[in-house]
Amino acid sequence: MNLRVENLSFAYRAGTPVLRKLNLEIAAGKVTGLFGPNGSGKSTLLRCLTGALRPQTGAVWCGDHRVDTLKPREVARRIAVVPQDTPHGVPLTTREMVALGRFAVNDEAAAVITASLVRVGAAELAERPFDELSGGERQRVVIARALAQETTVLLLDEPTTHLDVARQLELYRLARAMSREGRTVLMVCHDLLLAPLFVDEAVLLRGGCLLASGGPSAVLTSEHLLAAFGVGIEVVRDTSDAVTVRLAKHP
Amino acid sequence: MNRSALQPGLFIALLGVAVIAFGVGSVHIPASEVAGRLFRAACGRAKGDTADQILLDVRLPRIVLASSVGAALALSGLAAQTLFRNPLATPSIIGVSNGAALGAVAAMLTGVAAPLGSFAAGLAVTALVFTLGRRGTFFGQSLLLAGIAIAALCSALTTGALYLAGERLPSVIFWLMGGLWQANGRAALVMLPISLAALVMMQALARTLNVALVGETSARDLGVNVPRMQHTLLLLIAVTASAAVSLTGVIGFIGLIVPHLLRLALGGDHRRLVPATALGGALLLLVADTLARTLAAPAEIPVGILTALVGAPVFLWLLRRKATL
Repeated sequence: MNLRVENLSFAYRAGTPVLRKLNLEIAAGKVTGLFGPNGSGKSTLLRCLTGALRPQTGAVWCGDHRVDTLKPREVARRIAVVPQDTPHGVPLTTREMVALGRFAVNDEAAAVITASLVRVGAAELAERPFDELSGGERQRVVIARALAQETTVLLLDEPTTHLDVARQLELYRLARAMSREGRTVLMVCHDLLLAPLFVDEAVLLRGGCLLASGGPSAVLTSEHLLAAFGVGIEVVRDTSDAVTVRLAKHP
Repeated sequence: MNRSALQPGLFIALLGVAVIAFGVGSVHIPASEVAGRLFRAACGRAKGDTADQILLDVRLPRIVLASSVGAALALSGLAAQTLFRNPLATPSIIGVSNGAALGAVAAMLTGVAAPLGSFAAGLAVTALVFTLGRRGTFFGQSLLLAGIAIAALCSALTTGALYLAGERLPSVIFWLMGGLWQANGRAALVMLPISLAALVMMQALARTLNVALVGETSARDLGVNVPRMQHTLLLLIAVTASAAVSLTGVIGFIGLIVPHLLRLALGGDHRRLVPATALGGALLLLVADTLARTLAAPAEIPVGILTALVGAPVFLWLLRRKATL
């Protein structure tokens, strides 16, 4: 199912728009990376995509449905979200936490929950209290919860924040695998080293506007990155698919 | 502790304590006789002698009221803790209890029936807190802030009313301390259905309450209609807590410790937690009330003193065992 953003504008307060007349098409079967500096509207866009925030103008379409006409339960059957922060102080076991992903379908199929945990490499954590897990483990469990929703769209808000480099690679591979199964995967990324290797499409935001979109090598150019972040950097991807991020001028 | 054994265990303990509570008091009635008399009364063949009158007109309403108020307080505490995602929340945190107490005091000083004034004031304060809190981005948090302010206001007004109470001060104070000496059949018949309705409603909402544990934003992403859930819980807290306070005064601690202790024992899944909380609240208040009316007989100890005296050490002991203190 494709996600389509049409002429979307959003402001938390009148007069200070966070998203300005955004038009985007996020394709099924691909991993799309959403890049941009802090405060460029990435997380706000994600919350508009699920209908949690109501845009002042424009609309978000998930397949044939306008998301703001769907009930939360109907959205949760189509779109799963991995939030930026994992919760604290939740008195549930890991398995119970993943089972929350089955709320919208009203069916806590044990097989789906176990399979989701296995897929993020957290099967051995199943009976542990969620609160006693490390930051990285919690992150993986929350991703498993999103997988347990069995949706066609997966939105990840900076999913690699708490992960070490090996786990980051695993996550990117998982995102790619999910997309190859036909899902629409949109991932907010801050990392310019690994993420460009795994995303099929890149979207670059600045100040709530679309600066560039397309293939990662076309979007993450030094001109675009300078315009977006105000820093002279260059992402180089050589023929063997190794990536170097070069600072144009050392500080 | 074996999780699956806890719930039947609580139920059996509640029945056992009820049998004892039927038996003890100014007139002692042996357990064997209690069962026989209750059975005959249930079949419509009560003897109608003094012992029957004590059992059916005095102790039965009191036991039913104590159990249902205990269940109501514990369930409303659980609802508040889940709504605010805070294990220290109770209905008093959003001003319901203080509002209901203020209503009762005002009613007593102006000659209106205390339960009526109290119940109405509890609901009115909740409506006020809701109106003030609904405009915030995060409903739970703004509700909490508005509630704390309104609770403080109600508490100040109650103190002011006490200052002006004159010779009625002792009776008002005694009412505020909380107790079940005014228990009668009518009070029991009002409270029992309210508690049962709260239990059924929260059990039906159990899966939603589980999702609510992860916070408003994620709960929405997982498919919960968050405003509807919050409004339902708020209404449930307002009705159960106001009804409990209006019939028995302010009995503290049950709403705080019962859900908290059972969460330590059973984990956070509300499908187990809700029925256990209702049973645990009923059990704790029934034990405390039975002690309250027998320890210093013929005088009555305000039951709130006992719920705290029994509850606080047990609470501390369990917290230490779980190494959370």
